[in-house]
Amino acid sequence: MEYPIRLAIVGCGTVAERFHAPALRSFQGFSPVVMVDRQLHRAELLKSYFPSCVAETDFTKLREHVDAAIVALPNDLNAMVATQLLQAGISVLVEKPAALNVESARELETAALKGRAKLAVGFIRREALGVRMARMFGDVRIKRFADDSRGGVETNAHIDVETQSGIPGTVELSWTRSLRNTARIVGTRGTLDVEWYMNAARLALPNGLHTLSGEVTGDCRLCGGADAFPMMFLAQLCRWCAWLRDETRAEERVADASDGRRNIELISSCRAMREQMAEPWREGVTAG
Amino acid sequence: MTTSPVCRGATILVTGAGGFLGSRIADRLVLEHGATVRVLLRSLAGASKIATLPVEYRRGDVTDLAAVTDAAEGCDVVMHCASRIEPVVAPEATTTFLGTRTVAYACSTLRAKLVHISSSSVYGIPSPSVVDETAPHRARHRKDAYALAKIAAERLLQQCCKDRGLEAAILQPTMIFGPYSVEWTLTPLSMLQGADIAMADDDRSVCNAVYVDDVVTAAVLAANACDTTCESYLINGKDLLTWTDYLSRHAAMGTPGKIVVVSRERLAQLRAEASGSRSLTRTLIRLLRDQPEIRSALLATRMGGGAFSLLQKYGSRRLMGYVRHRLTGRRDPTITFPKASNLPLRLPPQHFLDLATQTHRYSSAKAERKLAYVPRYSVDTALPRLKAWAEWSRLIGNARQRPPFSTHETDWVD
Repeated sequence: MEYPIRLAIVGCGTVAERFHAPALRSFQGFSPVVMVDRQLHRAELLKSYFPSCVAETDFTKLREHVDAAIVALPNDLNAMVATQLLQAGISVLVEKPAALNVESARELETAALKGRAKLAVGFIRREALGVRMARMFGDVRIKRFADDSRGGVETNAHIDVETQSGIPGTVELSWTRSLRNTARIVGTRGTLDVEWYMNAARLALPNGLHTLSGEVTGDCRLCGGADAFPMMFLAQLCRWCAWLRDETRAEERVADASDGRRNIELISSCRAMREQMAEPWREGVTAG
Repeated sequence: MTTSPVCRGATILVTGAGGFLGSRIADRLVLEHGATVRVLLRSLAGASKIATLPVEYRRGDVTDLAAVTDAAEGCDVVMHCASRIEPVVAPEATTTFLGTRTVAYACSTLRAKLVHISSSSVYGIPSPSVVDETAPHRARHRKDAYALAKIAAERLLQQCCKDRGLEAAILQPTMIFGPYSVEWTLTPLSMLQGADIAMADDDRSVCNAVYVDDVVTAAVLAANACDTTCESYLINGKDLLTWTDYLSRHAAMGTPGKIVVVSRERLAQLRAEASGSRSLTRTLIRLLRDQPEIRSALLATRMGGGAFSLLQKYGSRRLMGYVRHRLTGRRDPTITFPKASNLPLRLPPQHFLDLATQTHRYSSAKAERKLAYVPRYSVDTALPRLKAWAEWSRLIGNARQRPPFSTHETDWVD
């Protein structure tokens, strides 16, 4: 693939404007040439960030003009547009969720495997230090899943997981609480917390005698991880560019079509075993 | 369950549904009363507390008549909770007033009943020991923008009932505490994380605290009592606690800090010390250091994240170490030993101090008589619910001990 890689952004909404465009401006590996949005004024807004760029409303006209595209559309459109772009031979970085269900995710993976174009999925938090540390334990199996939806969407989720080697773990996600925002490993001789958005770690001894705090440095796979949200997009862009140019090692590649499919399968299996989260403060008030 | 012929199965618009009280009203209307709830929000960003519910979303500002009319179309009742504290504008220019005017006009046009959530603050600092709805409306002081806006909104509503035949009822809850209450629950719990709170040893104050679910019950009952007389109802809780008692109950949930009773002289000394150490820079740095969520929120913004990235890229290791130390209090690497068990002694927040001088009790007798309102919770009986929420929210204790899965516990409904 020629360098810099000709790029389109399909879907010029908030994520594209606030994160992808700034990351592209500080990275030379891509040359943004087309901005596509059904609302032309959105495409033109993003076009203004890049001098040699044009604004378009139709993504089907991209075939001759670009080598790769970032797809950042509403959730229900991502899979359809990414599939068509892949079929046109354009490599795609699609925002999550890549698909709304397992069938759609499998179709997307098939489309990626058939052509010569590559599909990457924007799991941006994989660049965060805390996640990189948690991923050292490998794939996990879902044991239990609870969320707080009462007919709407969930704003809190609690997931009990188990690693392949049998280590139990917990994932907590929330829109309404201020959680710790760390990956925490509890060992017999101490507890290690790695922060998500800061390059910092904290080791505490179980007897509470003292705590060791500092930066994550040295020869470990955490090094190179992003420690601020905008930096994650830049790190993802670098990784995607290297992958498109076949310049990356397998373990350092960006999340691909199979990762995207496995992610949807994981969400689907959570839904299948869903339990209602206990919220006693929300339960009914009987008449006095 | 509270009897409510008007609300059961009805279509109800809740304004301010993203807030503390509005979200709980929407929650119980859906889950207990089988109502179809519609909410009016300026943006979906404020919907996190009601997102779990199957509610109908309408986007718009509460001061926009077209948006409110569209949202209230086909509704039997409107629960008007939207309000905002805007200290620098005249009462008639506040969102509280303008929003009430818009909602009142829309309701009178569409013939929907209106339950307006006002506040006991409309009575200012009354002199009698027991205050009821006959007390004159008077703000605590002429800069009490919140009370002034609520007084203006109540007057307008009563006029609208006379002139346009609007059927409405006004609720005047006292200090509402409960899960997600920033002023009366989160603030003391947060403060007790890192400090002991000093209270006067001769505290004779009356803490007019009402649990959020009691206010919701009253709002539902008030929907049955809406008429053109536009009656006001004070809504208070069960207790007759002092502010020291109220804060002690929060500390008893298991916070590191405790309530320390001190003499008036010591309290004055603490006040003098606190006013001496207040500077904007120090306050900002302390906030950044003490509140990881503020740090994260700033880093997630374009400017904050960008500035930090630039610092990381071009800043020397020494500079970065200095910035990190100022922001997070960390040096790298550092070994810290357990803190001394003595926490600093601090004053309660100013709004607590203001109220801790008041000795009057608001009476809910009229609501009890006319609405059949019976306060269900005292601070003590609400405590199990509040404690469960505070643990889950990581405000107290070790939340890992509590399983988040349904365990069919029945002891929570007392």
